[in-house]
Amino acid sequence: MREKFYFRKFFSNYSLYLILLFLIIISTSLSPLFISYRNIVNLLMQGSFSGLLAIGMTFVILTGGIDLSVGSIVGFSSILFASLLHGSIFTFMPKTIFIYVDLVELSPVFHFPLNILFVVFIGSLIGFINGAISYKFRIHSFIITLAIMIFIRGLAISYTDGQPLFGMPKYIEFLAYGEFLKVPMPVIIWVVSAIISGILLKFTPFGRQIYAVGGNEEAARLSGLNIFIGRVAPFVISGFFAALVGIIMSGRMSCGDPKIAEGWELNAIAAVVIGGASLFGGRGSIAGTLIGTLIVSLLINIMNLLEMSAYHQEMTKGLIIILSLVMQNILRKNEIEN
Amino acid sequence: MKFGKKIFLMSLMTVLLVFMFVTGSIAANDKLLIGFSHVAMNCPYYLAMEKAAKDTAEARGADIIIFNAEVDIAKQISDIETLFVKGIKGLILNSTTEYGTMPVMKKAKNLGIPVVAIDRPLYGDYLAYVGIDQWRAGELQGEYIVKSVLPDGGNIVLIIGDPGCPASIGRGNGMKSILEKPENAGKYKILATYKADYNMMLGMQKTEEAIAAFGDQIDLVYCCNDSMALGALEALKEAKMTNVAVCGVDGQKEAYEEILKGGQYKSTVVNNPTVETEIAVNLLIDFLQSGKEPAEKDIITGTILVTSDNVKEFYNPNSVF
Repeated sequence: MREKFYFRKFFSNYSLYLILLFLIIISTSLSPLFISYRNIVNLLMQGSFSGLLAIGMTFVILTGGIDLSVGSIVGFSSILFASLLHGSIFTFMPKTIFIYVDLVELSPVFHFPLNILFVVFIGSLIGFINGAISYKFRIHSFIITLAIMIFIRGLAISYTDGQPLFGMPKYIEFLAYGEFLKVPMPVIIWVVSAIISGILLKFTPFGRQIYAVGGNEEAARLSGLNIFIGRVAPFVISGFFAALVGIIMSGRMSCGDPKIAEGWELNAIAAVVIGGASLFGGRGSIAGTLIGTLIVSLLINIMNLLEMSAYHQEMTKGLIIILSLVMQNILRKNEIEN
Repeated sequence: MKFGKKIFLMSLMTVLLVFMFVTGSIAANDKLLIGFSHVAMNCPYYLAMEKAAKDTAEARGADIIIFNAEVDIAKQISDIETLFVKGIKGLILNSTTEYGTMPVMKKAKNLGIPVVAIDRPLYGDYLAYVGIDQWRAGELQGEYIVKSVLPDGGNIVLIIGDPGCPASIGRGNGMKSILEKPENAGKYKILATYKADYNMMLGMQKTEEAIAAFGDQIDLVYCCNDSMALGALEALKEAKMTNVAVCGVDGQKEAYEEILKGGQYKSTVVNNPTVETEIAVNLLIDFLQSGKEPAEKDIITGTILVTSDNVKEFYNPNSVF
């Protein structure tokens, strides 16, 4: 009897890790390529983009909100960053078509690192607008970030009439393709961001404030916490990470492209929710989000390795997300009953 | 206790991983493996390319892996990286944007994987480009519009596929460059430009929007491919606007049929996906097997204007596309 109890508790505590482990075993047996160094690097690198978005999304979901605008912010910061490099903050050029024969001469408005800081600031500002409107006018963030998502995508596309702006300096390409100790830079940025965010959430008053606001706003207010900060800061963080992803993606494509990252917000939300967060707020963690991201990226990776068609992939992804949520719920129920 | 369990789990995972590293050896395969990163598979044109690639590779005794990027450049880059992991020896690339795949092609170069660009010209270091001259295709249409379709000038609705893509840039602006020539100045007006993803349904929808916005002002709907043009034709027929001309590019079978009827559908430009894919696959396999460099870097196929005068030469009721 005691033995059984032990196992149940073990499963409920580590259900996520076990799902990941299970997937790793299955994947390895399905494709011998899965566990090769280059594939692992690939998997982590491709996961790092939605991973970074998911970290920001964790903050938002912890307070019971949702941020649908991150994908658009990624696209916008990519084209904004490229515009800055080409010498203007606003480039509404509906008529010109960019045709490049050779590498482009860049004439940046701001120099490194000011240009990165500026784009990241604008991303955070969009996040602030999301949060502030949602808080001030008591509109659910689902609606307001949906509207901002559409607006920002339109703004991004009207910057250059949908065309990519070519030409990125070396240091941005390094951000996307560089390696440190054989680990690609995006992965390092992802892991470092996760560690900082994890510490911020777990060990600082700010983190406790976010959990408190998400768990019970009224109780948090009565205990004298600043609800405005608790409500708005998560969106600022989310916008910040989205802008960062936009910059790294620009390096990955060597151009600013306003149309990238359509639908990435959903991948990020899926990662956070698989990671055990509650959409009603108050429950979730960065570690969970990390594992959630790994699960989603692993699924995409193994389906690619097995040469599954893109449409079957979408179906399978949806099914497996449902399955993993149901499994977690069952395991958690066991825990409560015990 | 809890901490101890975590450590136990972590070490279990590590042991398993190491074990798999050791045992997971890559299966050897003598067949030549090539990869094809395809932009999308949402219209007959792209599907014909997919089929031609598969058939040609099979005929040459090679294996081919085809990935569908779903018009997403980020996904395409990931696809290409996955193809590297799969151990491809050569890559055929139909790029979503002209410049976005440049860094990943650098990576291919470092790995010693030659890249053949197909259908859409692109920027970067590649072995050869196989496809039509996109700009010339636009020019041919422009010349025909000026000469026969609207000799007295008129209002044009332009429907492009995707703003960033070289096919739309070339076909759209090549056509515009003729209309903007000094002798034609002021005669032609682009009423609006719509984006329809090279898709028939969207082409129809955008034309409906154009009809709602401009009504009888429209004299010509110029589409950057035949799928969209066929959609536009549907919409025009529904609105009983039988005087409005339609032009497309690609030489789709259904477009030839419409041109044969001699109705609103005036012209298209030959861009045979089967031929270009066959050339590209053969060229890549030749290079990989015997090191034969292609004679030219840009291999231009098709790019022939098709009107009611010469459509019979090109129409084949049994072709896939």
